[in-house]
Amino acid sequence: MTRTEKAVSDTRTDNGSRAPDLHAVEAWVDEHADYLFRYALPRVRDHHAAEDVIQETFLAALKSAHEFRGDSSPRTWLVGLLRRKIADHYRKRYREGEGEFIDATDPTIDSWFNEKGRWIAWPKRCEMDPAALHEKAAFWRAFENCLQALPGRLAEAFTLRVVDQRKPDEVCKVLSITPTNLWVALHRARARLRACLEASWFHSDAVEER
Amino acid sequence: MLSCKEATQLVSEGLDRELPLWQRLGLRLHVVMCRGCSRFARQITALNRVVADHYGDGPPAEVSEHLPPDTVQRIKSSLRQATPPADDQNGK
Repeated sequence: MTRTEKAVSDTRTDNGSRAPDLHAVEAWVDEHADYLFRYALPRVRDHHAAEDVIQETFLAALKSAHEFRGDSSPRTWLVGLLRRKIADHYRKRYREGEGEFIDATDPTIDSWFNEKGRWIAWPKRCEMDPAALHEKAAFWRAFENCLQALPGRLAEAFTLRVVDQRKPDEVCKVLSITPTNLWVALHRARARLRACLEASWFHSDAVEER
Repeated sequence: MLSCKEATQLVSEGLDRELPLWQRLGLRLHVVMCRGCSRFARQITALNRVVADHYGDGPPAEVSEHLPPDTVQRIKSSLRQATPPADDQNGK
């Protein structure tokens, strides 16, 4: 055994306070890292970013492992830490100036209405039954593609609010936008997603089956 | 009287906050009479619900991605690096 290895092994076995935490957190990595990764992926929508927030989560878990009381399962506790790291990820991005601003107008949406603000063409008929859609892989593929096609800021607002179910005031803080801008961003996101799904999915699936 | 463009914005806002009574009434009146907006309202409301349900309780069942093994190793070594040596723990 080299000196370094000896030192590491001493840390793990002889030190009463930290070593058990390290072992516990390493075991959590084996048991929960995949779950947390899958949880994070649709929320940060990028593999590398998801890997980074998972690493941050486990480092935070190591730091505060002594606070873990076992009232909840380790997984629930880790998800709580992960959710904070996901918020940090967006906050940091915006601080670094990577976020886009919300434009005053949205020409795509404007093009659906005439000068009086009436629909030029009505949305097509399609009943979206939540229970049935849950199981449909084709729907979720179409949804992912449509979300991917949204401008970054709109996708972020929709992801934090609807996918991640955060409260509006929290989304405003994380994205550092005003409530008015959030309502506009969410409306544009939903309206564009609806239109995109109408084009890519309504015909192929829902309409033919009915 | 609301235009369809205004009504669709309010339909969406109604999913995120409680609208003032006068706006709710104006919106209801418009949607009842407008087939385009009533479809829009039903569809984005359903979309909101189905997306929330799908992702709400953790990862969707069909997602089966694994954290790459080298990332798992990287995380573990970062944990070890973040663990101070024994001496630090005992106040030198």
